[in-house]
Amino acid sequence: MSKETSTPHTVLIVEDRIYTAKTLRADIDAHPALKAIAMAHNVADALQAIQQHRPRFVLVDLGLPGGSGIDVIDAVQTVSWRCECVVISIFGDENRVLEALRAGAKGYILKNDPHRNIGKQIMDLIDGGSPMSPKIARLLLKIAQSGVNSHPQNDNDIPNLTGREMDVLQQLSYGFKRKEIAERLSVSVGTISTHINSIYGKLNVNSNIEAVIFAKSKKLL
Amino acid sequence: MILKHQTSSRKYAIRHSVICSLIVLFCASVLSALVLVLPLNAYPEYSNSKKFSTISMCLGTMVECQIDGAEFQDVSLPVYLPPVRQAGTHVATFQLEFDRADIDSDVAAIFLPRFADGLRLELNGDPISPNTDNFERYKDKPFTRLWHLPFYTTFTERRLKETGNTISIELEAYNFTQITLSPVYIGDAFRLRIANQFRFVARNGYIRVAFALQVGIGGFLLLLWLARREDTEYGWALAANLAACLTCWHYILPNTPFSAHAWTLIWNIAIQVYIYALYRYSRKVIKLPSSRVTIVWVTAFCLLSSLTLCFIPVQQLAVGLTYYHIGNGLLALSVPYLFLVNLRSNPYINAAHFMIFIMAFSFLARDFIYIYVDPDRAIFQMGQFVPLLVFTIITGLLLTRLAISLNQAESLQQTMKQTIEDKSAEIVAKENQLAVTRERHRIMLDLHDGVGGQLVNTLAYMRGKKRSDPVVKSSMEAALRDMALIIDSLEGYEDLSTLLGSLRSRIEPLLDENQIRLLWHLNGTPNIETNQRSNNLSIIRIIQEAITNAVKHSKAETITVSSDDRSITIIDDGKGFDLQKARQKTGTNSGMGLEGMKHRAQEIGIDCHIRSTPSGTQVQLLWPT
Repeated sequence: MSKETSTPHTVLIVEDRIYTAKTLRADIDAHPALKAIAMAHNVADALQAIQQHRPRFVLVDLGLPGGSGIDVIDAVQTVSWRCECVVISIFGDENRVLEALRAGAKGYILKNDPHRNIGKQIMDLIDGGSPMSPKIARLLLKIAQSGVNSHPQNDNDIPNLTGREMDVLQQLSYGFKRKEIAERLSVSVGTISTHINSIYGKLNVNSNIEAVIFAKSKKLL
Repeated sequence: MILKHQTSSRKYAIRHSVICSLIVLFCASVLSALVLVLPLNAYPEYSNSKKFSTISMCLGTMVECQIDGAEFQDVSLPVYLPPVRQAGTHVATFQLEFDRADIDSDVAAIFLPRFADGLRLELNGDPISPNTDNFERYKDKPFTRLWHLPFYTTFTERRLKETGNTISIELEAYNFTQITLSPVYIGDAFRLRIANQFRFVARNGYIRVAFALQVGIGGFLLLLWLARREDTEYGWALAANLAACLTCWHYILPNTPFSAHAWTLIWNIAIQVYIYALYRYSRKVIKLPSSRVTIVWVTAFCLLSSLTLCFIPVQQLAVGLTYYHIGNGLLALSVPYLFLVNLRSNPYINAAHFMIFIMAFSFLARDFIYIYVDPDRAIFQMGQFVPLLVFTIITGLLLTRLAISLNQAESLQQTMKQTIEDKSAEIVAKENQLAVTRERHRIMLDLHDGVGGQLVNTLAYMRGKKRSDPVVKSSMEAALRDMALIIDSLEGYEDLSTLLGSLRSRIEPLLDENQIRLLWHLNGTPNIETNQRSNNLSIIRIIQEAITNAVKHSKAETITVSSDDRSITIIDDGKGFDLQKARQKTGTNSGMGLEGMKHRAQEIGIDCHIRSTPSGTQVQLLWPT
C-alpha cells in the first residue's frame, strides 16, 4: 500500500457529461492511491488521451457521443503497457455492461452513488471485488442454463459454470448481498467472492454471448 | 438373447422363402395347366373340306420314295419327327389320296396349317409349291424355311382327276430341328383360305405387328432411359426389348444370311439375354440392394451356358438347347419369385409384375413342352405372345410408377411450398419481433444515456454546489429510480424476483443516506399470469412507493421486504400514519399515494392491503389463489 501511496495509479476519465466527470475526478483525486491525469468527453479524445498519458486505468462511460465506450475498451486491449478499463454506469444498463465485460473491462462501478466512494470502489475492483447486479446475475444464469441443453460444440460461447456458481448467481439475481448469500448457503463471504470472481473470469472469453442470448430467446438454436 | 432372435428371424426368413417358392411353383403350374388344358383345338374340322388325320409316310426325298418298294407307313397327324444325329438335313415324304368327290366345292384347295421346315408339294406328280417347281435346280441350295407360315394353294381344275388324286408332301428339316406336319385339309378354297388367313394372323401376322409395336416401345424405353440414366431399370427394359425383337425376327423371317446353325444360336441366346435383362430390371424395380455376388453368379451362369451352347456340335444342338432352356427357365422363374418375396415394398406394382411374369413363364413353359418334350401335349405354341404382352404391361407399370412419382413430387412440392410459406411467415414475425426488440433497446439506451446521464450530471452539479434544494435533489433521485424501473420493465425479465433484486440495488443509496436497515426475505415470488411487462412495472412501482414512503415519512430504522408464492410484504418499524388523512393527501406528494397504489394493484387483479399503527406500517400485495 505504501508503494501505491508514493506513486498513485493514473486514471483517465472518459465521460461526456461535464459535471459527472468533474465529480468523478474529485472523488478519484480524493483517494491517496489514485490520480486522475486526464478527462476525455468523446471516443476520439479518449483514444488520443490513452496514447498521450498512458494511464494505468481508464474509467469509461458506455454511452459516448461519436461512438461507444466499447470502442475505448477494445483499444485498451491492444496497448503495450498495463492498462485496465473500468466501466462507469448508472443502472438499468446491464446488457451493455455485460458486453463491456466481455470486451475486456475489468469491472463496473455505479457513478450516481454519492455514498459509496468512487475511489474505494475502483480500489476494491483492482483487488478483485467486482460487484454483480441482480440483472447481470440473471443474464449469466440464463446463458448458463441455456448451455445445459445446447450442443457441446457451442461450449465456447457459454461460460461453463459449476452448480455452486449457478446457486450464487441465483441468489444474486434475487438481490441478496454477499454476506446474506454466505449465510443462506452456509459458507464464508470470501468463498462467495471467490465464486463471483471465478464467474467473471469465465465470462472474459472471446465469445459472442449476445448472439447466444439472442439465438436462445428466438429459439434459433 | 440376440443370438436366439437372429436364429428365429433366419428361420422365419427361410420359411418365408419356402412359402414364396411354393406359391410361385403353384401359380406357374396352375397357369401352365390351364394353358395346357385350354380347349384350344388347333386343327378343327372346316365345312366343305376334308381333314386328313392319317397319312402314309416314307423317310426319304420324294424322288427316293418314288422308287418301287419304298417303305411307306401310315402315321396319324400331326406327326413330329425328332431331330437326328446325322449330318445335314433329314427328309420325309408324305402321300395321301383323294377323289374329286371328296371336295364339296367348285374350287378346290389344299391347306397345311403347320409344317416344318422346307416344303415341296406335288399333285399327281406336278409340283404346286412355288419354291419347288424346278427343284433339281435348287437341289444343292439351302431350302427355304417355312415353318412359321401356314401353306395354302388352290388346285387347277384340269389337273384334278375324278378319283385317285395323289398329294405328295416332302418336308426337309435341319438335323437339330424336327420335321412337323399337321393334319392336311383339302376342300373348299374359300373356307380354307379364311382358315389360312386366320392361321397367318395368329402366328406370323401377329408377330409382325408385335415386332413393330415392340420397336415403338423400345424407342419409348430408350427415351426414358436417356432421360433418367441413373434409373437403370429403363436400360434393362430396353435391353430385354431389343433381345425380344431379335427373337421375334426369327418368327418373321427364319432365313438369314448366316447359316441356320448360327442363327439358331443367336435367337436362342437372345431368349436368355431377354430373361437376364428382365431379371436385372426386376431387381432395379424392386429396389433390391445391389448384391454384387448374386449378379456375378447370375451373369457367370448366363455367359457360361451361352458359351457352352456355342461349342455344342450341331448334331447335339437339340439336346443342348433343351438343357439351355431348362437353365433359362429357372432364371425366368426367379423373376416372379423376386416380386413375390418383396411384395410388401410396393404391393400393387410388384403384384402386377408377379402376375405378368408368371403368365409369361407359363406361356414359355408351354413352348418348351411343345418343342423339347412332347408336341402333342401342347399342340398350340403361345411363346410368340410373351414379348408384346410383357412389354405392354411393363410400359404400363413404368408409366403408372412415373405417375405415382409425379404425384408424390407434386405433393412434396406442395408440402415444401407450405413449409416455405410457414417459415417465411415465421421469419417475418421474428423480424418484426426483432425490430420491436431493437426499438425497445434503442429507447432504453436513449433513456439511459440521455435522461439518465442528464439527471446524474445535474445531481453531480448540485453536489458540487454544496447548497442545493433537497426537494429538487430527492425528486431527481426519484426520477432516476423511476427511469431505471421503466428500463427494467422494458427489458422484460420474466420473473419478479430479479426485478425485486434490481429494485433493492437501486434503493440502497437512499436507505444508506437515511441510515435505514433493509431486511431482505425473498422466499419465492408470485409467478402467475400477471407476469407481463406492464404488470411487473406496476408491482415494482407499488413496492418502490411503499419503501420510499417508509424512508421519507415513517422515521423507521428497519424495513423488511418478504415474499412467498402468493404475496409480497413491506413492513417498517416507523411511527405509522393515519390512513384517513393520508388518503386525503392523495396526489399532493411526489409519489402516487396510497390510493394510487391500491388502484394500480386492482388494475392488475391483485389485492393491496395497507395497515398502519403507531408501531409500524405494513403494505401487503396479495395474489388471488
